[in-house]
Amino acid sequence: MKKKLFATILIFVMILTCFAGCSSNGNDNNPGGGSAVNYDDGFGENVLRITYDHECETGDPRQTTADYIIPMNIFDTLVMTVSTEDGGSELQPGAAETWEISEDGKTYSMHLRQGIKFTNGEELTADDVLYTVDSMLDPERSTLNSPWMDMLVGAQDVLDGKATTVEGKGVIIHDDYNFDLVLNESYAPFLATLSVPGWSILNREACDAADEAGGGKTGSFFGSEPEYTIGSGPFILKEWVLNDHIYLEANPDYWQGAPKIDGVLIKVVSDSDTEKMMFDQGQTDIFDLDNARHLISEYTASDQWKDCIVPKVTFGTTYLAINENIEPFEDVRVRKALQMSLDKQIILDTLYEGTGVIAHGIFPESMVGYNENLPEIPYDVEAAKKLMDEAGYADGFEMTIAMSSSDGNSTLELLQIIQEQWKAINVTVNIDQMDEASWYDVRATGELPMYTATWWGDFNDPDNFIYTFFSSASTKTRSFNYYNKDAIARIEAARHIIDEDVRMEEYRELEQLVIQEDAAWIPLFHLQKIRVVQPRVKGFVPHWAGWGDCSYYSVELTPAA
Amino acid sequence: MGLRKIDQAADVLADKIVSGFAMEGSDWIPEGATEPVSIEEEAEAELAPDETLKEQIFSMFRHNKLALVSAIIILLFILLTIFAPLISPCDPNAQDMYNRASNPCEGHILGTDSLGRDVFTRMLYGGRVSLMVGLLPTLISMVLGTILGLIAGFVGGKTDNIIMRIADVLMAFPSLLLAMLVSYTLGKGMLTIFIALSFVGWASTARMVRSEVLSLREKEYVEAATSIGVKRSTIMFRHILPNCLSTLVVLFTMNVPANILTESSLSFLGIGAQPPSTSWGLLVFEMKKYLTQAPVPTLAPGIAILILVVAFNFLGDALRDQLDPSLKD
Amino acid sequence: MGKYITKRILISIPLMIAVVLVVFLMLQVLPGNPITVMMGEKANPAVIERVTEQMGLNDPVLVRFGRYLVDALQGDLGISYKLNRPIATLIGEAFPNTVKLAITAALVAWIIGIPAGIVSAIKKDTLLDRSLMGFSLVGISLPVFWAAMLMQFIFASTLGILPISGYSTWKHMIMPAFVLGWASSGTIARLTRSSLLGIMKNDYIRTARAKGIKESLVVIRHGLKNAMIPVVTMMAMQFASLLSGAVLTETVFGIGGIGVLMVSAVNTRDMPLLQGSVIFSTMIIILGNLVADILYSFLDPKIREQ
Repeated sequence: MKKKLFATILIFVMILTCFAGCSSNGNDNNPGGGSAVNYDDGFGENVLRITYDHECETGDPRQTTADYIIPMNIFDTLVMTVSTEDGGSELQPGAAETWEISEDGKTYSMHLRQGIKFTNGEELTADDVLYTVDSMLDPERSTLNSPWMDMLVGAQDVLDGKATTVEGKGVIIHDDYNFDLVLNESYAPFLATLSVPGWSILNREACDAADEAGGGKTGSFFGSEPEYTIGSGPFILKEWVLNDHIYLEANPDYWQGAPKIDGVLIKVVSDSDTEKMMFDQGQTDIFDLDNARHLISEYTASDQWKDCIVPKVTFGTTYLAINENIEPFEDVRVRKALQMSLDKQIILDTLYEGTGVIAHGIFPESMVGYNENLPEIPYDVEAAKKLMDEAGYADGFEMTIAMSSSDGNSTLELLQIIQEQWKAINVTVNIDQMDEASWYDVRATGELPMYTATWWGDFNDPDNFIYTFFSSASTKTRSFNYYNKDAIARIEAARHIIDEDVRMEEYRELEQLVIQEDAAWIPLFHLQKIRVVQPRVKGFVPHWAGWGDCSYYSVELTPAA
Repeated sequence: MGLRKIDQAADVLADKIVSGFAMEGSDWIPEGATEPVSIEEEAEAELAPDETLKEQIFSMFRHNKLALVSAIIILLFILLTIFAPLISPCDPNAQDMYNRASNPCEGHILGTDSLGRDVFTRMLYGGRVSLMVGLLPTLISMVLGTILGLIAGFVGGKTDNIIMRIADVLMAFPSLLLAMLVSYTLGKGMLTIFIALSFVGWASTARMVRSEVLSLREKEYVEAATSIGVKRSTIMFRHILPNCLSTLVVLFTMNVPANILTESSLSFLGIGAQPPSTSWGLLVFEMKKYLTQAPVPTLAPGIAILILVVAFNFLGDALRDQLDPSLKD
Repeated sequence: MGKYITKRILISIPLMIAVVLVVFLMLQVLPGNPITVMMGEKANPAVIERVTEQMGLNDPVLVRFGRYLVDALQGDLGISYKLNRPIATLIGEAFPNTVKLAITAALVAWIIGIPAGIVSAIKKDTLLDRSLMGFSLVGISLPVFWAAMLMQFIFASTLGILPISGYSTWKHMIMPAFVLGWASSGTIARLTRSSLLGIMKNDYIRTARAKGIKESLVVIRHGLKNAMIPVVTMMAMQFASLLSGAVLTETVFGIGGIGVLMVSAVNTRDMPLLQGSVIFSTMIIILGNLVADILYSFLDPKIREQ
């Protein structure tokens, strides 16, 4: 009896030990000796260490619209958008060395740089560009980034399954290095859109191999298995340990020259306290304070860190959407009263620690076509009350702001402050937390009441902002239901204007019309992105639009003092 | 014969598993409460069990000071939350944007939250939610479980089989997981928690009541009642239910803290109570990132949960010792 | 005996199928389209419509259930919407971390729980007994997430002697293992105590006492052997529950296990991931209970002899 009990326990212990054996991680390399910081991650000293607050979705630019950190570092785009000194941005040649645009604005003749190699040894050629377009439009793949390419001739047929390629239509190949991209209609910002991560150039052979290894297009290893995720960019996806880290190794053969660092280690750390502790101990090099804004003042006030702060004005606008289909928002006086009765300064100063500027329009400051003469929306509760009175709502009304419960605490905090502030004009706000899927679904039907969101620019053109919200289709699917048909028609026409000066002037007028006269939305802020970096990090350039994801190609690491 | 006995043993074990996994870590069941033996003895001893139940409880309070203190604490919590507006003059939603996430200071004995609201006041109001979730779904699930258990035990056959197999499936899930599934389907919020907890809890109660019915059914007085043609429902409610009562009381006291913990855990994960309403778990969740900056307002709601749950568990222990002769010496 | 075990195993199979069905059905009545969530703020109606069609989300529920069951039996639990890789791979990567936490927490629970229960039983109704049982009861009553944060505050933020979260070294495991272990030890301690006290009422114990053997020796030599039967069974079940993922502990300490997988699946509405991980967890519990039952039948002489 005793023996049996003993044996059972013994077996139990053996099973446990067995499990324990499986669970040990194979990362026991010694850190590079002699460094000031003793890294406990097993990577060398000349490696840039950053954190990511969630598990990265994929490295495949076709499958994500949010997590671009891998694509931006391991692929090339035809054109690149880079930050300029004054905080703006400009286009520079990427994989395409030169290009010409036809007079009707429909044909883009591109000339590829010669000698760009994918890390499987293949050269980047016009056929890879064709593959990139075809596979993005392939109806058998559930791709999310096809809107970047659906304006090409023949693209819709591929999406509909009526054709398998846009060859000879949207993409006309002359030889390995020269090809034309042909659009259905002229689209002024097209060149800028070629620089978005969705336009990362993929290699046909590498992708086919990844598809085959993964058992087809839906289970493809491309983007998830490092050895199959082949690009031509400055880094190579080398290692991906789920929920732990991603390692990007420097590509010694990169066409602009090998990066000056050995690699980028992306650690998945979901909680800001841990991020802070790791950064303070020197275990990470860059600390993005987006999710830890309450720590900003601590760093700006510290002698050790105050010179290590890298602020970046974002190409983003935080706004409150007004649904004009809902009573009483059809009345422009009510909309204006709401615009005027928010004390945005106090929110900016407290919730966001003063990092940003108050928005009075749609376009952020560093965008081409920004109107510095745009009148401000005043904070004036008395005037707002008068407007409410004129509209017949002196006693106020009850309204709902819907938020997606996945938006988290900071959005909720913002809405609760707005809720308090609007009490001043007798407006009672109910905050309705919906689950994410219904929130998006209801919004797409045009029936979502007021909500808040932030739009991040994809490319530096006003079209990316105003068309997204106030074109005839999106004004419904984003639950604005903007009434001014004339303004909508002008917004849709503006993207086809070829003369840049005329186009920008048109956008300035439209912005003023939509925001100030029609009060179709409530602009809140253009926030800054704040990062603290270790003193050893040199040459770090934030993404031109202030995204969290960016290329780390320019970074250098100096040995710790 | 052998198999039947094993089945009973397995049932008791399964009961333990289920309520065990109601909460992560705190996997424990009122051991004696599930064992039908005790009720048999009791049923033989007393003929009017409901009257003695009161007496027994009173005598317990007279002799067991710990139980008395626990009961007083619980009562105090209930009163505090009911009379919240009288106790704290603050508006639970009043914001002070320049005094956010602060430790105790003048006017805020437990500090302020991320929007400068008084945490003590919010705890008083949040306690309403926590207590409500502790009491109401427990009651619903136990009523449901008792009815289904009575039916299963008394009707037997196919009905019994169907009810108990559904219970088996429900009990296979850890209840936190089941609540997460329900919240995925129905959306986040208090209603979801109410449904999830009521829905999960009945299975173990049903199983316990059923096994008691099975043993009581063989009792002479029940057989006698059946033979003189008393209706089944009358037998169930007049004779069998009163005999289950003391066990149900114990089980109730044990399930309430489990549900309070589940609610606070779900709220802490962000899938329970939704602002602007609040609960203790949600208060901790909202202040999570301010832990180092303002530990007092961040941790205080957790202490409230702990005290209340401990009080309920002590009371439950005392009740079990009192009402369950099998554990008495 | 053999008959009993066969019966237990046979009962488990329909239970497992029923669990898969319940999870599947619950997740099919979901109110929103997952594709809209995947695209988020960059949503584009045309893309949403196309991808929904492509992923077969427009097929009838029964067709999808059949497809799922067939695939699941071959070890294919589908592909995560959000993370773009097979669910089986994701679970395979997360499970070792959960196992690590489960083992350490279980060890803490047993090392604290069993001696506490024995001592309490020996010193019944003394101050020591009451304080040990009080400690156990607090463990049972502990809001795990709160205890975890309290420890983080004391040992990581204030004293700075332990890492605040993560799971790469043994140092990282101390706080999570202790929090979870303390909570689990309460159950073990109480069960050990009550089981031992129950055994001590038996005749053969009275005989031993009558022989004048020291009380603690009576307990250890004669009582413990039989008293441990339910305790060992409970240990097996508890271990299974720990293996199914400690949602709260993993969340607070940032341990990338099954629990975190499930929470993130709920938050990102990653239906296939939630489905796969919940089914996996529940299967572990069902198997754990099966093992516990079989263990019980082995250990209990009354059952074994039949």
